[in-house]
Amino acid sequence: MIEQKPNGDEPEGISLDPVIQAHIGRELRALFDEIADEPVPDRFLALLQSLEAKKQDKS
Amino acid sequence: VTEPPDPKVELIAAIPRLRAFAFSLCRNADRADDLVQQTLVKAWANMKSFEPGSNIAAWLYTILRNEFYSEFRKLRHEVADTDGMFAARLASYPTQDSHMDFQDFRTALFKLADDHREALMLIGASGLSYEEAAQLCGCAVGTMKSRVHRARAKLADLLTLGSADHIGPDKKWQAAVEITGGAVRTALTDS
Repeated sequence: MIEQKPNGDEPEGISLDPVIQAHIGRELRALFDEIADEPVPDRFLALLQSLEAKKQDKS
Repeated sequence: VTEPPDPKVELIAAIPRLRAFAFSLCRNADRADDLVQQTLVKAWANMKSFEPGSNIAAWLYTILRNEFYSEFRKLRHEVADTDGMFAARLASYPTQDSHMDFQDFRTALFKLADDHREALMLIGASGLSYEEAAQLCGCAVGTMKSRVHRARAKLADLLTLGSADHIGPDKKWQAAVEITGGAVRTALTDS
């Protein structure tokens, strides 16, 4: 994460309001976690099972 | 006795994070899962090139990203790319900063250039280091830092749009992005 810097000390003359900064961080993690916390859909378990079965057929 | 890790178990464990990353790239849940599916097939076929003990999520992200940029993205414009397509995810959006007049976060996030949004997700949400993210995207660490910084600045702009001035120049910028997304993306990347 980018460290908080005092106003006027950021590259390109941009300084972010800490409230917005915190909001962005929280919302990014919320979006990521919302999906990452869902159970693995059956289609992927079935896919890996079929890939594994194919591999065993070959060997 | 430690058994060699079962590739299937490792892949399954990484699927939730892959789905989240895929969604952040292609913004549509169904298409994200198709991208994850392609990634798993590729990963399975190339499992031998994975170094045991290294970061499997980073390895899988690399494959997913290559799939997205090499083929998947070409299909993007064939699908009607409307906000309604990710309405399901947006619907559950709860704002935690009700005292601030922020614009919708996810709508703003998907207005960013792809490489900026990707940088934000990798660093800000998936927990990769700048070094890992830079390696994954094939760029310098400084470039990755700069992308994250610019992405946050742009996002902050979009989020506070309308809180002070309802029809500012940024509204026009937004419209420009919607019409000529590719050109603006290039302009932003090069600026």
